Amino acid sequence: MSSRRKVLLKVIILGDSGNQYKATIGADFLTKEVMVDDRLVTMQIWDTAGQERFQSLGVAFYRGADCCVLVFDVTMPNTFKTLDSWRDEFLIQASPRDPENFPFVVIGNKIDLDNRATVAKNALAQESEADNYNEFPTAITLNKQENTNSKGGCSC
Amino acid sequence: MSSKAFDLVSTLERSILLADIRGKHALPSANPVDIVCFDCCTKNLFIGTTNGFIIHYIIDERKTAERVIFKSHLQGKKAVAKKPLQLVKYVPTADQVIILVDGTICVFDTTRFDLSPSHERFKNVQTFCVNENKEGGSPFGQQVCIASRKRHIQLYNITAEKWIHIRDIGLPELPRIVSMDSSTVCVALQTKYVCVNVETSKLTELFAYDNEADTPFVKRVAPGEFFLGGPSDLGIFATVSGVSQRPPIQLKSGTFSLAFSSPYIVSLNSEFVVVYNALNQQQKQALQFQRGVSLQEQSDRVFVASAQDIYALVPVPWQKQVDGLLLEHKVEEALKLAEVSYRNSGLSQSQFNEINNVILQKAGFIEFSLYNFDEAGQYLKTGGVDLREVISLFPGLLSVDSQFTRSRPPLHDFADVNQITKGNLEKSEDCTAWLVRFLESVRCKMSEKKDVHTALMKLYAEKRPSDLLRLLQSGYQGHHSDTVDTLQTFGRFHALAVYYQQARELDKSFTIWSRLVNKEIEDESFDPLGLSYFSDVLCKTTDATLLLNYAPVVLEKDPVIGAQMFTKRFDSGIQDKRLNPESTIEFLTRFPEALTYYLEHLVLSANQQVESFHSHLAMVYLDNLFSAKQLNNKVLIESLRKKLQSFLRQSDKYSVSLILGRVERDDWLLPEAAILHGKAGNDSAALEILVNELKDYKGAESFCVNQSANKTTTIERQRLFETLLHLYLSKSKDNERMRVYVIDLLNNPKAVFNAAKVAELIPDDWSIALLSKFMLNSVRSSLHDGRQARIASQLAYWDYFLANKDYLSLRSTTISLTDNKRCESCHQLFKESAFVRQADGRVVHISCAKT
Repeated sequence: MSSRRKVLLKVIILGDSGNQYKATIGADFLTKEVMVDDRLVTMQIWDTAGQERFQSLGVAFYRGADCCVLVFDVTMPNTFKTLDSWRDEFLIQASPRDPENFPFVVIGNKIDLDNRATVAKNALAQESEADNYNEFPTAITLNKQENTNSKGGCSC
Repeated sequence: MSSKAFDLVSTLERSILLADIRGKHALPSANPVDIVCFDCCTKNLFIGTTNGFIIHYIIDERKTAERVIFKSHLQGKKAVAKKPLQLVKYVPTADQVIILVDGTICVFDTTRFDLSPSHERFKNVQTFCVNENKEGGSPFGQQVCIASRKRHIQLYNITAEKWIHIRDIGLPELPRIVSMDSSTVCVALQTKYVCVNVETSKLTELFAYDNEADTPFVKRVAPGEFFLGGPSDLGIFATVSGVSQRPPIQLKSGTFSLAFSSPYIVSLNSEFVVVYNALNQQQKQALQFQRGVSLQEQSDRVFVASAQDIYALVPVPWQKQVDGLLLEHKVEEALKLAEVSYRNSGLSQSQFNEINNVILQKAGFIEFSLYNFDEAGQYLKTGGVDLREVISLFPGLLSVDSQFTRSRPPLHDFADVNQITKGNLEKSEDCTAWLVRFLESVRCKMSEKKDVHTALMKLYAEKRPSDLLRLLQSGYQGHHSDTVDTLQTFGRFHALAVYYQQARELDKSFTIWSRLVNKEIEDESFDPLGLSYFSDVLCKTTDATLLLNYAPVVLEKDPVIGAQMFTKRFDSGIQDKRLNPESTIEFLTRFPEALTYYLEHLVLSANQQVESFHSHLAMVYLDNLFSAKQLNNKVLIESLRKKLQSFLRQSDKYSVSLILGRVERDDWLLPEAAILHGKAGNDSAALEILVNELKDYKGAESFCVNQSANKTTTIERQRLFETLLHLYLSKSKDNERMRVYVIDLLNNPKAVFNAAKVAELIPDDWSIALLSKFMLNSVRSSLHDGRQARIASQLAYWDYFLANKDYLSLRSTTISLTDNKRCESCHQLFKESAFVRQADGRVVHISCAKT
């Protein structure tokens, strides 16, 4: 049955979390099954550890990824600025077949703390207007998610 | 700590090993002999020791009901080196054991049980591995990969006869550990892991590790997948293409040997054997294990060697694991485990559901034994438990002839609930209360209905009689004799009667109710219902015989309620020969009060115009009156008389002669006789009684007024009043006071007299003054009548005149009937000359005029 055919979709989540509330050890991992055009797609979501001692693992974790989600903290402008380096890091380590067209999704997290987000908003506006994000060849989803946390914010 | 996944079972004991090495009578040596490495394949176990021995055992495995026992049989031992053996690998296809000792590989021929002299020795070897996945390779050979102490690995294909060198592959660093799967060798280099494709010699870098802080290991876990030691004791899965497809597992520090037994990763460090679940990355089990050497998986079990002895980690049957989890209340985990185990064993969904349900049921019983009633109920319900399984925990609740036997294998170990409560009354009450709630909340299957209903009935009968009736009245299917016995034992007679009623055994149920009514037996639940309930039930029964049999019980207790049974039946229009009004009246004769009520209902409320009913009622009234008279109860007599008189006056249907015959026998019933005479039209007789016997002048007057309303002509009315006048006058001769009555009568505006006749009747000696008012009224009314008559006559004449005029004018006009003239009623042509002209001028056929 075609509808039962399982498709695995590996999604990597990258980015600095503003306030470190819990450091990821190795990788946090969750799966979510979604129906896409009659096919059951199992999304395998890897939230990898950003700490230096686990940096070497990136290559194994990133490889075979179908999508990369870059997450920043809307209350911390710096987390947005470092997305560039995360993207580069990903492309180097995962070395996807077609790096020019690899799908990235950018998510602004913690929008529920919007009252503190003015600085980030300005930064975001400047960055996206001015420079390199316009050069992104892939479609950028500036997913200013209505949902208040990143769990619901994933979309590819 | 979750329940166990493995049991640790001794496979080769230290004492046996030592005895085998040194011979039976050898003295304890100063140098301890320890195990350094081992390999096992099917039943063969090869051990390498510190003193350079290789020892071969056959391991026999025996399964008892409880556990697995291993027995080792020494096959041979041989000193092959002076130094400790580093690694032994048995290659069954080539009957060889490959031994690594002091950086040299030598080949041990198992058939000759000695080192094979024909094979060259390989020097400068770091380590080696055997291809663990031969897919695609030669079926006769076995590939071996040797990691040399230089920067390359060497690949050989080995058979019993020879080792064939295939190729060398260069590496960027010195190899430390190798593991081979099909055409890929995964190598732990000095600082990183790489995958080498032996066919293309292509290197895929996996990831780097810290060679000072981390202990590297490479463990093949599945076709094309390895488990590698990463930074901070993180175990990382990687496929041959370098992709990590499973989340990493946090291991204990210093882990150096691994084994995989789906879905568990078993790890060994210097102190522990730790089991992880690869599905949720959680630690499943940890066993203290000192001086561990290495792990080897063999079919579904894992062997673990310490320096001293060898154990097997025997997987605990998943059912047992599930049971263990259930005991720890980890129902979710138990279900998941069952799911994994069953998916692996390839069972169908329906079979799996069955297993799932059994687990839920077991969980339910365990929760129940811990008094976690909510959980218990939920699990048992979701698991679709056979309700009888639950009921059977409570002794004596199943129906006496229940065919139920508990399921095999058992879902729990409890004989009954007493074993759980250990005689604690309060707890046992709680359990019973839960059972009631549980049974009430679950829809039972057909097969269970009998036992469930019986059980509920027993529970209700004992504790909650209030719910008993609801149960019995809503499709109750419990065991018959059990039900009867229980209800009798607990004195639930009313419920028993209801049960019989539901079972269509009306006779039995009525007997019980009549005994309850007569207080022969007691049941508090019946008391508030009492007689009216019983009468209602009787009233609704369709069986007339039963009604007549049991009605006397009610009638004796309360005639009105008793009579109402019959009146209600009459009103509801149930047709039944045996209970038509005539036979009912006959039946009720024994119960006068009820009969009165019934007849009154028929005659007065239901307005039945049947002579016999009316006569009968009158007779009954009379009977009642007579009996009251005998008792000399004046108040009663008064009220009964009023009733009788009003009935006699109002009803026209009774047989006057019959009643009169009865009434005339007694003088004190003269007023009634008067009414009856009046009814019979015998006005003078009635008036005579009223005036002469009763001297009830007012009554007489009103009698006349009433009677005159029934008369059609004035002459008759006059005659009636004249009769009364006559009676008065005949009495007034010797009684002056009668004159007053005479004058009153004459002056009564409702009285009708012919003045001329009255004038004749009035004695001559009466003064005009007395009669003046009457005379005046008479003259006035005569004048009035005369004038009225004249007006009427004139009006009639005028009518006549007008009619005559119309007649004349009509006669003077002509109507022409032509051929094409049509009837104004049927619109057909006139065929003959005869026609009708109607009052409104329409000309129609004669036939049409008739219709």
